[in-house]
Amino acid sequence: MRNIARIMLGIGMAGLLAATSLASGHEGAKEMTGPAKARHDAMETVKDHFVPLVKMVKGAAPFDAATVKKNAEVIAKKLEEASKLFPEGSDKGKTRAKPEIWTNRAEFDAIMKTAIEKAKALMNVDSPDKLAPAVMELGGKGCKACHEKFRKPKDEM
Amino acid sequence: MGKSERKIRTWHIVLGIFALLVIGVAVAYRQLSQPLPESAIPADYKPDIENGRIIYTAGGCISCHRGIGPHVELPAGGRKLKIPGGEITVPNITPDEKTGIGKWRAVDFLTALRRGLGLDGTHYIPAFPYTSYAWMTTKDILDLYHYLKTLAPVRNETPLDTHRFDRFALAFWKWLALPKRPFRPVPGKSEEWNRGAYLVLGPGHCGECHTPRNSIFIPDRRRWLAGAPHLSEKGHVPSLRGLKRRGRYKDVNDLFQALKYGESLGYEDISSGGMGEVQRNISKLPDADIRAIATYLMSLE
Repeated sequence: MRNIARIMLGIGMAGLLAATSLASGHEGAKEMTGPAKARHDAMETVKDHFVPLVKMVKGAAPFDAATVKKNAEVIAKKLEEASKLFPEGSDKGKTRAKPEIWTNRAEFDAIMKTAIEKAKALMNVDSPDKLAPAVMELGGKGCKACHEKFRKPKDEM
Repeated sequence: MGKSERKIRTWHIVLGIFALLVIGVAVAYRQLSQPLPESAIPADYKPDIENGRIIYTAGGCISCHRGIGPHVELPAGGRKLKIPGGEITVPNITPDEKTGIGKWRAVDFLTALRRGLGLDGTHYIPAFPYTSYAWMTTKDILDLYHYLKTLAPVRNETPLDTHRFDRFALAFWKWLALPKRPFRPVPGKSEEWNRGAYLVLGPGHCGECHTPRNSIFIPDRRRWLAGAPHLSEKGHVPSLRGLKRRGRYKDVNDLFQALKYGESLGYEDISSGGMGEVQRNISKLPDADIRAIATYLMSLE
């Protein structure tokens, strides 16, 4: 009884899975190229300058207004660069950019704009108590907002 | 006995076995379609609305059941949900009499979450994660029911897509997939660890995405939370095992902060693939519960 049900369902589900995996296909490219690579590099730089600020918020590094200003400036500059690196058709090949960026461009651009504004606002933070809210605004309304909607899941475990 | 007589006799036996099989399947199906009896509700049960709200948050019910337009903050349903092999309309679970759960008794709700059965005996498809919710305690399910009853009713028709054969097969699939009893704390583990395990296993239904499924789509408990292909997008859902060993999170506090603040504090791995929404729900839980989840997950090797 249990086995019959197992086999019956197994065949059905396997067929279903095969159909979906065939339909989704595969885009082979192993290395990032062109705009995908350029924007990835820009975002990596953003991350490298955001992480030290998060450390300050968590108290793992001392507050330093000069570093905040310098890092926020780089973040703003790199985000502006990155925002111009999503040309039509660059969702092909190795990238975590979702096709929705291009079907929903206005929303994508609006979040990018917000992120740049938040990064610029972060440049003016001159006291430790203002740092956490400013960092979280950028991280939440910039990074998170965009990645939630427009970034594919990783391809690894 | 003549040759033809023997032939007839053989046929009788074959037909008899076949008939028995059909009757057996029919009886089994009937059994599997039975709602829970009224007596499933403990006589001394008293609703705790605040606990119901916590379970509602832990379950992230709003994420799938979210209404459209003016009802975006209520679980009025109506959105399309991509599932392997198709698309469904998410039901309205506000207490509207006609289109929601207004007419549902507590025991109907218990039957839905624990057995994946609708009011009319419909076998729900597992996009409604009852295989996780069945781990929940009766009290938590009933508190959730009473919390939902406090929400504003929204009139919004959300038709169930019914495929007769699918529902028939589902009855047997559920028999294999549903846990046989609710969660029981693991002796020797701390209260915090057990709370975390419960939230992850039951209401949080983390295993629905993070645990790989076997050939018949049942989450494989031997590979519990070990990561799986994403169900509705390309890419993978990460493993939650060995988070410390693999350097994903430093310690319990690190994961606690990740779950509470997400990418607003730079935890970039928990935004994509739907996790951003899950994290937002988790962030609304009491700190003690978030910490319990982190404690449990960091203990998985």
